[in-house]
This record gives sequence, C-alpha cells and structure tokens, in this order.
Amino acid sequence: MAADLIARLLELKGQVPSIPFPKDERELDALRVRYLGKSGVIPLLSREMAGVPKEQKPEAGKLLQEARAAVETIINDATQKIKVDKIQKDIDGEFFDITLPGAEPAFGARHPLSVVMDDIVGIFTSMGFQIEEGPEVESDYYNFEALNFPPDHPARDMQDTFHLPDIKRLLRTHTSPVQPRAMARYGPPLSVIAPGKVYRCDSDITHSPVFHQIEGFTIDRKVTMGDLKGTLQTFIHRLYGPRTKVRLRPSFFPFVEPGAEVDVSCVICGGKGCRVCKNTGWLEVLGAGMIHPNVLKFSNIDPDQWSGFAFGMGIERLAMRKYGVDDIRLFFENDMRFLRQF
Amino acid sequence: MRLSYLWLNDWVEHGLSPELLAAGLTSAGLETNIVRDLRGAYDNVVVGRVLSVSPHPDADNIRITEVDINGATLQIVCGAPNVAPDQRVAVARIGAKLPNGMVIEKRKLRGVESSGMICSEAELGISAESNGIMTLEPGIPLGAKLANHYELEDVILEIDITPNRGDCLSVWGAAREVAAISGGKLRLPDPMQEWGTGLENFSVYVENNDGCPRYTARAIRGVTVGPSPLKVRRRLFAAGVRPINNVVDATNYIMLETGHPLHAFDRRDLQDSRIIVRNARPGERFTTLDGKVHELAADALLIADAHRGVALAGVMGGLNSEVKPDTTDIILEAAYFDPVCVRKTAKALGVSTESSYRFERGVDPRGVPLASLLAARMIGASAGGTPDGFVDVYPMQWQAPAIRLRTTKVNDTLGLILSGQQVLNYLGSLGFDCKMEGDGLFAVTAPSWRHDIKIETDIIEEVARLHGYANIPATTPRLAQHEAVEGGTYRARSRMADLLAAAGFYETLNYSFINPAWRIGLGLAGKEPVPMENRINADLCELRTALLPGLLGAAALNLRKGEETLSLFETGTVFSRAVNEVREEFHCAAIMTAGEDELLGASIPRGFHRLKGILQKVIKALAGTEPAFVRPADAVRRQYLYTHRQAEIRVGETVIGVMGQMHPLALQQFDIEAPMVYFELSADALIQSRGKENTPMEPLPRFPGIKRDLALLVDERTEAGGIMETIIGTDRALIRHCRLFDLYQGPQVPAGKKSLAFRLLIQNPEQTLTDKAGDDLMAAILQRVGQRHGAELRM
Repeated sequence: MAADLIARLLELKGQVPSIPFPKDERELDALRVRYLGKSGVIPLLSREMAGVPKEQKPEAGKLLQEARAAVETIINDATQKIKVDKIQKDIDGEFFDITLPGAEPAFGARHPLSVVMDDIVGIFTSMGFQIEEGPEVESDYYNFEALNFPPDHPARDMQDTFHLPDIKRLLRTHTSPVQPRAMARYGPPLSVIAPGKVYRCDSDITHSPVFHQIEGFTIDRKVTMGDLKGTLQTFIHRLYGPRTKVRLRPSFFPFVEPGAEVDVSCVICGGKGCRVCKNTGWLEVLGAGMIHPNVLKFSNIDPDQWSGFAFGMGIERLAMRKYGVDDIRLFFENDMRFLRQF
Repeated sequence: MRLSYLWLNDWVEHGLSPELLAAGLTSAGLETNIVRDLRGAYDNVVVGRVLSVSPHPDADNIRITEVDINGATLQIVCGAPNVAPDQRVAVARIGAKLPNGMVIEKRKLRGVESSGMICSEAELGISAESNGIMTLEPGIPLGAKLANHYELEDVILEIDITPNRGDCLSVWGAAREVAAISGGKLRLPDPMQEWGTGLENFSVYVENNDGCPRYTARAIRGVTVGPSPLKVRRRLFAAGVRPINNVVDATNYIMLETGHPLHAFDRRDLQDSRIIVRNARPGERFTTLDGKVHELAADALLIADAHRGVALAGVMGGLNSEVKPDTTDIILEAAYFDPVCVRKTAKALGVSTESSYRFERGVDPRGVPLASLLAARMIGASAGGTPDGFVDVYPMQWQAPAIRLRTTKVNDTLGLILSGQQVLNYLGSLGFDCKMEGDGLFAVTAPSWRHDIKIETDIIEEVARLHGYANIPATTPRLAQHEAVEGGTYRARSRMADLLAAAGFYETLNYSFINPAWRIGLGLAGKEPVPMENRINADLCELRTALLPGLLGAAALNLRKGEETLSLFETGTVFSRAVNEVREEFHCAAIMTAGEDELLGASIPRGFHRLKGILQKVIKALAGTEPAFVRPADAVRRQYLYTHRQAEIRVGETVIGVMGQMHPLALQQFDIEAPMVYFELSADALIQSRGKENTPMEPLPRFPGIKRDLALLVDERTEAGGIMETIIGTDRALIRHCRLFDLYQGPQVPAGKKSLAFRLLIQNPEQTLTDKAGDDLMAAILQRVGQRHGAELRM
C-alpha cells in the first residue's frame, strides 16, 4: 500500500511537466479542481499519507510536497499570465483619441526680447563675464565724454539723444556708460556684461525710441584684438551654431580703437545671399573694438599697463532676425496676438 | 557718399571690378555697396538723325518722325516739343531696357506705329528731369552705340563714411584708400604749385583766425553763366547733386572730387570790394540762398563784405551775393574753417549742407589753394573768363604732430608679430611719413587730410585695417574676474518674470516715458516725476513713476482688439526726482482682468484673491518668506483702487508694493470697462528682502497627523484672516496647517451670516496624536473663535 503510494507519487511527479499550461480562466479552474480540489489528485494522495509506515513517511511526504509545489507553480504562473494577457488585451483593444485638443495649463510667456536677452546674458556669464547694470538716466560725462565723444564732435550725431533739461541729464543712448562706471567702481582687471534699456530719439519700422543693448568688456594685462576675435567667435558659435562664420571689418566707435563691425554669415541663407542679408551673405551683429586709451585714461587706468576690448549689440535687431519680425514697433505694442506666439 | 566708378578711375589705376572694389573698401573700413549698375544699360541705344517730322493725324501734341540710324530708317512717334529735322538724337531701339526701367517695344500710338523712342536725358538716367529730347553733337557717327561716345555705363557705389573719416568724402579720398588697398597708382596733382598772382582792387581780412585758419579768394572776370557740359552734369547727378549752372556746378564738382567745399560770389554784390571773415554781431540776421532768414548767434562765423554778411562760413552762401544768370565777375572762395565752429553754426540753425558736413569732419588745410585752382580751371573751360588774381590768408601754417609708434605696441594690441618694415609699408601706402627713431620705434606724421590720427592707437588701427582684420588670429583669453562685482538683480528679476509667466502672465514692454495726464488722472502720488524733452511725441514728456499707466495702455489696446481675458506684466525701471538726482528703481507690476478662467474643465475665479495667491507664491519663491497683505492706512490709500479692495504687500516690516482691484473711474480714463486687478511692487526691495542667512529646514514629522474640518457661522462682515489667526493661535505647536476650503453665503445660512469651513492638520512632532487630544483641541478652538469673533459651529 505504502510502496504503491510512493510509486503513484513518483508517477505524478513524472506527469507534472506534461500538464498542459492553462490558457484561460476555465482551463485554470479545471486544473485547480483536478489536482488541488477537495477530491483532486493531491488531496486524495495526501489523505493516504496516514497509512504510510513511519520509515517511509519522510520520502512520501517530500514527494507529495514537491508535487503540490510543482502544480501550484503552474497555477500561479498561469494566473499571472492570464491576468497580464487580459490587461494587455484591454489596452490593445481600446479606442483612444489622441487628436482631441490638449488641455493647456494657463501659462503666459516672457517677451521675445527678454528671451533673447536672457539667452545672450547666459552665454556671456558662462564664459566668465560678470553682470553689471547702470542707470538709464545718465550724465553727459558717462554717456559721451568719458567714452571719448568730445563735445561738438560729429560722432555725437550717431546717437540722437533725449534730454532731461531740468536736471541736466539725458537718457543713456547706449549701455557703454557702464564701462567707465564699472572701471571707476572696481578698477582692473574686470570682465563685465551689461544688459539694459537704452534710448534714442528715433522712430520708424527699424528704430524704436526705447530699445535694448548688451555691452561687454574686459580689461586685463595684454588683452589683444585676437582675444576679442576669439571671444566673439565663441559667443557667436554658441548663439548661432558652430558652423557660423564670423567677420570683423574696420569701423568707428569713439570709445574703441581699432574699432570693428562684426558680421556673421547669414543665419537665413547660410551665406549664399537672400533678402534678409540683402544678398551680401552677411549680417551685422555687433560693434566691437579695443578699448580706446582715452577711455582708460578717463577712468585713471594706465593704457600702457592695461588693455581691454569691448563690444555691444542691439537686442531688437537680433530678435527681429530670430523671429522674422519686420517692424520693431511690434515689440512695444504688446498686442496679445504677437506676445502669444513666443 | 555716392561715388561714380568711372569718376574714380580718373584718379587711380586699380584694376578692380566694382564688386571687388566694394568688397575691398568694406574690409578696409569703408562699408560700400553698389546702388546703381548701368553696365549694359545702353546696349540698344544708338545715335540717329531725325530725317523728318510730321504732325500726327489724331493728336496735336505728338509727332511722327523718321530717324536714320545708319542702315535703317525708323518711324518713331515722339512727344517732345523740341524734336526737329537734322538733329542728332539718342534712339532707344526695340528691346532696349532703359535705366529708369522702361522697356522699348514696338507699339502704336494713337494708331501710328512707333519703332523705338527718341530719348531725353532723364530717360537715359543722366539727369533728374529734362525738357524734351536730348540732342547730340553733330559729328557723332549714325548708328553708333551712344555709350561708346558718352560716359554712361557707370556703376554707382554708396560708401558709408564714419564720422572720423571726413577725408574720404570725395573722389580723391576714396582714390587714396583704393590705392592703398590695391597697390594701384594714384594720379593726384601736386598740392604745392603756383596758385596765382596777387588780387588787385579787392581785400580780404580774417578777424577770427581760430574759426578760419585759412581763407583764399580768387577773382575771375568775364564768365558767361550757362549750363554745364553733359559729362559734368551727369557726374553731379550720379553723386546726387543738382546741376545749377556752369559756375556753381564747377564749385560742386571740385568739392565732390577733392573734398573741399567752395563758394562763388557775384563780385558786384561784395560791397566795397572787400571780404571780412568775422563773428556775427548780436542779433544779426542773415538770409541764406535758400531764402530762409536766420537770426545768428554771436559765435556764428560770417563771411561779410564791408556792410553785411554774404555767406555763413562753411554752411551756405547768402541770397544777396549768389551767382546769377547775368553774373560776369566772380570771387571764388576756398577756405579751411574750424570743424567745431561750422558744426555749432549749422546745429544752431538746424541746417546740414554738403559743405558743412565736410567742414565739420575736417578738410585738408594744405589742399585749399589747389581746389581753388582746379575750380577756376573748370570755370574757365565751361564758362570762359580770365583769372584776375588770388589771395591766400594763412597766417599759421598747419603742421601735423609727429606721433611715437612702437612696433611692440602694435603687436601687443593686435596679437600679431609684424616687423617694423611691414608696419612702415602699410603706413607708407596711406601717405604717412615715418622716421625711424630706434629699434622698432618710429616718429609718424599723418598726412594733412587725416584729422582722425591723433595718438599711437589711431596709427595701430591703420596698420590693422591694411593688414586685414581677417588676418588677425583668434585667441581665447581667460577672462579676469573681479571679486567685488555682485551681479546686481538681473537674474532675480528674470526669475521673477519666469515665475509670473508660469503663473499665466504675458510679459509686456512699455515706453519709459508717459503722458503726465495719465499719472494725474490715475492719482499716482508719492513720487516726483522727471520731465523730459521728447521730439518724437511731445505728449510723452515725463519719465514714468510707476508701471501702471503702461500696463493699462497695453490692456486697453488688447481689449479694444477683442481680447476678453488678459494677464499682463512688466518689469522695468521707474524714475523719481530726489533733489538734483534721479532715483531709479526696478519695479514689477501686473494687471489682469477679473472674472473666471476655464482651466482643464474647471472654472477658477480670477480676481483679487487669485492675484494675491499668485503673489504669495512668487514672493515666497524670491524672498524666502511669505508676504503679508495689510490694509493701508487712510493717508496712503490709492485712489485708483477700490477703497476696500486694496492691500499693501509687506515682506517682514518693509512695504514693497501694493495690490488691489482697479477703481472703475480709473479704468474709464483708459476706456476700459472690464474689471481688473493689479499689483505693483519694487523688485529691488523684494530681492533685497531676501536674507543672506538661510532658513534651516524643518525636520519631517515622524508621527502621523489627523485632519479635522471645522465649519463656522459668523457675521458676514467678519474677516476670515482674523479667525484663521485665532484658530492657529490656539496651539501653534500642534496646528501645522489651516486652510479655508469653503466660503458660503446664501439660503442655507441665516441672513447676515456666512459659513467658513476650515481644514486643519493637527500633528504632534513628539508622539502619535490621540483622537481625544484632537477633540480637546477642537473644543478649545471653538471656544476661542466664539469668544473673539462670535463664531458658532455650523451644524
């Protein structure tokens, strides 16, 4: 009897690997009933254990446990698989409309000029320039004289000025006054980036009486024009991409010498010539140069000991190009149909 | 400046095409573009002879001509009144495309076929306007291309000349640059030659030698005033100068060619045969040749005769002494006037002429007599007459200073390794005189036309631009830092703007100047405004003391354009006057329409409390602490806000701004009907309020808390803030959080009452809270709110 039980348990053990894997709930139930149900194979065998001689009990018990565990594993695996299959089947079968409009959170937006300004300030600060801002109401001294614009010089015509006659001040016409201000405040060596609002008495589709500039300069021992070129090249590659070509050509700003106008290969046509670059293949981006010795002297810095470069750019012009804006006044009209696009 | 390519070629051999010339000048610092290209523009324009002219059967003002173009006879209908048989004329054949864009086709004019066009000067692009067709000299062969016999196929360049390079405002100036960049040969005449003999019966006195360091006068007798030759008129037209007569044209032509402005007086009009260069007398009036009367300032330099002004020195001639059709004897003026003196006069009178423009930028003092001589020759050639003396008042010879130039400084500045010889070569090609004074040390004298060369660096720039900026190798410096630079508030302001944008606001940018009426209308008080002079819009004549007017303007514009809900903000500078200083402060302000927002299917009220909530979050993020909103004292209450719907924004003890609902009467001034809420605060004060010390974090609770709701019935005029403060004050250690989650007024509660429902989080940091402890706390709260606010539990 006992030997017979062991033989039957061994037989069961042999059968287990060939039990067909249940494919659905019904087969799973049938399997469970057949092996584990009240009158299933394993409970029936288990009841016979009582009659097994003591010395054979461990072997029979072990065989029984193994058989039960094997069947349970099949049942558990099958249960899991059927559940997973069902979830996947439901997911695969559903209809879902991804074309319904997105439910947008009520975000607003920064002004496009701020976006461009922040980008540029970010590039320069990461290169090692420190932010410094100056006042928008300036004296003639900082806005012109300390920047080597002599009184009654035609260079002053380049910048049509708003005056504040009551207090003998003016609205700064460029961010360059931050140069002499920072030089006076800190002294060399110094590397500064100065973003801000500037004002000129000029208004048409490419000129706004209020606009924005970023000024940058560095003063150190033996700063060269090659350093200026390298710095601007790095900046332009980060702004427009590493393939952008940079060109410096001589120009005149009273506070730099040698002075340069800096062009980049047209960001629209890549230099082949288009409407935006007026078929020249080049776009004017900024003005730059070596800081004029007179500017250093005005700030009590010895031009034989220190040298530096400076550059400045108009944000509106860069933003107009970036976004294809053809009328500068759009930036200051604050029409929501415009502001929402950024 | 407009430069004719063909005119330039008279003076320099360069071998460059117009395109290469433009590129070369641009890279040498003279930004040059081709603005008119007439190459090939006269391909189908030939010389013809009018054989016959007969009337048109159907029109009085046009006639039918037959024109011989050597080998063919064309029938051409012509509208010009001056067409006549035997004239040599310019014929545009079928297929011609004229410089003015006109394309010649075979067509019928009032039923008569016309195979071409007899051209006028204007149609050929030689002058601005013309009366009738152009007639040619008789000798020119019929059928020949017109362009083979006249200077026509030109290219006009526009050179953008920076204020320092006044020496380039002429054909010669450009020629010198072209010679330097191309290595080509210059053909300029020697400036030191015999100028002429003494001037008889005429005297020149210069009273103000500072204003007029050099004055020359040249007499010419017996001229015949008439039109200038075609070539002269074409070149003047190409340069953008209107031809007048052969005398005036010669002065303009030589000015354009040499850069020296000249002026011709009718000798009859110079009383007592005398010229005096003097300052204007107080109140002296003068009529310039454009007919305008000017009252002169005392520092205006005047060319006068014995009794009156005859020209404003370097600016414009006088109506009383100009060259007229019957003028025969002239006095030709060539001078060097002080740039500042001319500029002041021109500025004071609000005029800018070709002459003043050049004098302001400095002409060549040594070249004055040569310009006079060339003009006299030209007048002689086109108007006849004989030279009759010359005088040159030039007491102090102009001498350019020698400037020390170090080759090491050149290389240190540019980042190059040039030899002294290379530097010398570059400077030599520009006419600089260099003397070696030591190893790599030179004494350099700039030519007399280069007023921009004052110091060593100016010379270094000359070397740089001739070497080519493109040939300076780029290097990357390690940028020096200065430890004292703190970086200001730029980043924090930018962050604030980012937060407001994330909260639904659109950033605007408004002008910094406003109409004072806006400030007054809104009752913006507390800051004294700074007036400004605005030549663009005289109404916007003071600097803003607040961002509010600009935002209201932007809101009004958008509401007018049909927007219904708006959330706008701006960060920017506001200005106020403090004694003789201007105080500048960065403000941040926002305005938003009140109403409701549909967001993700839910409806969220937008109004005072929404804005307050946004501010709480934004300020917390920037200042590190929550702001308080406090009812303002009566004295500082803003009249542009609802009396009771306004609050001061405080961080710690500092009032940093104000918020509230806009008063409808204030909105009315901007034609806004929609209700709006607004805040404005000092971004500087907000950012400064952030302490340098960090607030340490609170440890996370280790024991669970319990949530309890509390609904209270109170009088409808009771402030929720006070009740909340009382609740929390009952046990600040245990009550971690108290939030108002419902406010109800209506039929469910008695009249005059409202229901406030709070949700509390009660938590003991030391141990698990028992229900009983919670119950006890709630009872204590209820007792306190009952005592202090008359609140009772809502059942």
